[in-house]
Amino acid sequence: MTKPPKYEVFEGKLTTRCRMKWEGTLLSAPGMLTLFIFLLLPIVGLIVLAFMQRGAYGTINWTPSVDNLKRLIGFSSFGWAPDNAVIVARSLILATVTTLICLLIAFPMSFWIAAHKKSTRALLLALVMVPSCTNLVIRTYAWMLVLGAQMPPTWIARAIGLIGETDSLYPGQFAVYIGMVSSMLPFAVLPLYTSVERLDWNIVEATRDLYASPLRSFCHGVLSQMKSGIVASIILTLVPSLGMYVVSDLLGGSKYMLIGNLIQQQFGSASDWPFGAMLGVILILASVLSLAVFQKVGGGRNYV
Amino acid sequence: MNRLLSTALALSFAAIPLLTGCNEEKQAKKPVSVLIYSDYIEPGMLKEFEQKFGYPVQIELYEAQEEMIGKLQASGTGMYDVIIASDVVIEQMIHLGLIQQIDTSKIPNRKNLDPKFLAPAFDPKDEYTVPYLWGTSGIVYRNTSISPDSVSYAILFDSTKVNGNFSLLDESRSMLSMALQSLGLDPNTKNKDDISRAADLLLKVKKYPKFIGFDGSVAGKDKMISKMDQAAIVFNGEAQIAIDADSTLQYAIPREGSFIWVDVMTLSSKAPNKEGAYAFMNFILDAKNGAKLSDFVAFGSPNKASYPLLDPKMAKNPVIYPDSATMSRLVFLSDPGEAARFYDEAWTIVKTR
Amino acid sequence: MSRKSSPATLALSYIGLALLYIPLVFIAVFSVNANRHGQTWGGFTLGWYTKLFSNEQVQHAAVNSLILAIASTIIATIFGTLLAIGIHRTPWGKKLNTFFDFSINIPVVTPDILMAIALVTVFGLFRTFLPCFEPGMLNLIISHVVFQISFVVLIVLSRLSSIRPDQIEAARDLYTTTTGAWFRVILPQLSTGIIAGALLAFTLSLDDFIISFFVSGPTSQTLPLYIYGSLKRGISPEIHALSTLVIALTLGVMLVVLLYNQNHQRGKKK
Repeated sequence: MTKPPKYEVFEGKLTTRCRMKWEGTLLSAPGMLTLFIFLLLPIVGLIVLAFMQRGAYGTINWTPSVDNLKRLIGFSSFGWAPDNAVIVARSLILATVTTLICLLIAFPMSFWIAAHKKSTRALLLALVMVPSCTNLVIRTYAWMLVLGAQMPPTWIARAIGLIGETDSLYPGQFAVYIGMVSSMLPFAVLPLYTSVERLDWNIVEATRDLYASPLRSFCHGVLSQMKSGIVASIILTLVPSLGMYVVSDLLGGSKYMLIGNLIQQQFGSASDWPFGAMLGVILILASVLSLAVFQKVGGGRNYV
Repeated sequence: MNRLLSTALALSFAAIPLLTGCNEEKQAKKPVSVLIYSDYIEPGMLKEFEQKFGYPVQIELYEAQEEMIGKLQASGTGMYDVIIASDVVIEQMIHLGLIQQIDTSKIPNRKNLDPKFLAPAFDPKDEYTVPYLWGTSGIVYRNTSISPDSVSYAILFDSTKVNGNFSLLDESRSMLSMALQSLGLDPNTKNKDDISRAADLLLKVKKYPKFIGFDGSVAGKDKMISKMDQAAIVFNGEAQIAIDADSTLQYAIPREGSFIWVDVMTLSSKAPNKEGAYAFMNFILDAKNGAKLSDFVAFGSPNKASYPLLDPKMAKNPVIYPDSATMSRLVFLSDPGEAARFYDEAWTIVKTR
Repeated sequence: MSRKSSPATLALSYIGLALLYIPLVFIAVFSVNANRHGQTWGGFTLGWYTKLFSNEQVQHAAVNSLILAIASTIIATIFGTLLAIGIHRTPWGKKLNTFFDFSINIPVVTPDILMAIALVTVFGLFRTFLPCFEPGMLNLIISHVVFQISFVVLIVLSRLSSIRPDQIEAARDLYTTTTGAWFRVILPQLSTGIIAGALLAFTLSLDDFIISFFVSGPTSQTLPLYIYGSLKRGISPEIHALSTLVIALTLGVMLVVLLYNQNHQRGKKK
């Protein structure tokens, strides 16, 4: 005889795990099926592709080899060189600094938005999101002109000694950061704001009642409640920044390759899909692993 | 909120089948699909073609050769009839099975072509391609004291001779080939060491304070016009636009040589409308259309019958139609085959260090 | 509740807004600048707008982009919200939960071009059975939904985890069914999260280039594809006019939605 089903209370209702899982399957099915069929399965295919080789004229040579892995570590035709590591490091630095600057600005901004009354809040939030509806490249071209030699920002930068007398902000590293922050800011503000909106100020009041200094009150009262929001904000800013290369190319003079450039090159001028697949798969793996670690630190699955 | 959601749902589900075009309109004649660079054909010509032959024309644009190839490899060629591509990638396209042989008897206007462009190295039997436009790559510069014939790569690559900001071309094969030529090496070399030398040269130039970056041909042209650059490597069409905007500019094919490229029309391997495709190719090769095309796009026409019909200013312009002495310095680029990896890795090195 | 912010907060917030809007202001200015190259002022003109309106290709691309964004956002928001709810309330085991987390994160971390290749391969496979999967609008919508779902799920899930679970119990004490409890108690609280997710999905779809490039066909050109094309050939101020219109339109739509919401709320209060 089969075991009788174990009844538990879920959401105040007496039901079995089995029935809950069945309902869960129905709810998750449309989303997961879409992801599974159109993304997850093909990525498995890409993993297989990563271990193949490029044939002459860009065809795929279906003989497995670890050549691409070796090339990834740096063993190119010209001997060993840390070029790929340099590219990764450069991308990481750009992404991290961009994220930090974005957080620095997004944090006060989300509090500022939350300080208005409800109807204005929504308007301000919309104002923040609207620029992202414009094409990124067009916006970057606008920055190219704003940061050019005959414009005020360059004059100010020269005056404060940021750049040389004859240089201009564009093209240059500073311009790249301005462009990156400008495009990633909305993605940093959104999760932070949803976190601030839900802040329970009673808790902060409680810390004050317990004689906490303003700083401790802020850290333990406010920041601890916003943990998941901060994590989400970092994820939504850091990860896309890692893959972005258009802003760096346009505002930096296209002098240095980033991860995005390298991958693009493999599917473009190099016609080396297997190596591109290898690069991409390693990137995905590294990102997912770091995300997992990060989310654990941020307190489980409470993202925002 | 609920009602809004459900109406939106209903609308979108209803709309989707309509949008996928699962029910196709019956048209008088099947359309001709052309995959082409943007701004590479005069819009009036398309309308003329449609009126004359009755085939509606669908244009799809692309910007980079290799992306176009990647896309065709991935999503198949069944959506396109005519594909305009650059000579460097033709061998690759043939090997990948993206284009099919052309029945030259269906294109009588081929007799108009300049024999110089027939039987090229990438298509020795003229089976796959029909020339469309051609151009050169060179240096546009602002220095009236140097005449175009005496320009050498040194004005960019020699730090003692650089007199202002300059940009180099952001295309791996093109830039490396020009670097090879400046060193007196074969731009189509498959030799690893030669390619490495070219990469080292470019790395050296990258460190010059006056070097402001790698740019596409159009971006370089824009920088010349806005006076941000004093010199840039561009294609001749862009150089002409820059010279039109600023008459102190000049365009030169360096003494060490440069490369000439030909864009060709090809027939997609799964072309749904071959008749339309042949009509289109034939239409382009018509003498009058060849001239109109060349005048509009500011690149050279390979159509001999068009020469007398060209705008006289264009025909005499050495930027678009160089004299034979200059032509002898120009080389066609070919697919490096096995050596492709060397070029890619060299370019990565140039862009990383 | 309206509070005063400290001057530092205000200063940084205004800097942030400036960073966001300086390029947009310039784009708007370029769109009425008679001088083609935008370096110098050539006089006020609306000529680029008229040129834009007579450009059929742009209009076609714009319509395609809009249809694509709206359709994919609606589908992705629905699928994503359902998925978030499914993940949140169901007692999946530890392994399944990790699998879900993993799957949701993948579209966020995958480089665009790899997603494009993956999608195109699948479509190529499907195309052998069903001709509907020729490069075109259906493929585009599916592709966009795939990367939008993750973002919707991330935002909705986070919002869900902050809603107190005993509210459903309380609702049940008042004799509603499970669905009733969800629809009338939880979903309204979730609405800001859902709308935020939808907004994000919409913007992501409007600006997508690489995936659209690989997946689209000749009849389904989208706006970013057209713009990228003209960029290499030199931006015509028509593109600036177009961008300005997009900004104005989006701002307008948001204002309308907000005003509608406001009236709705006011009506409810009464």
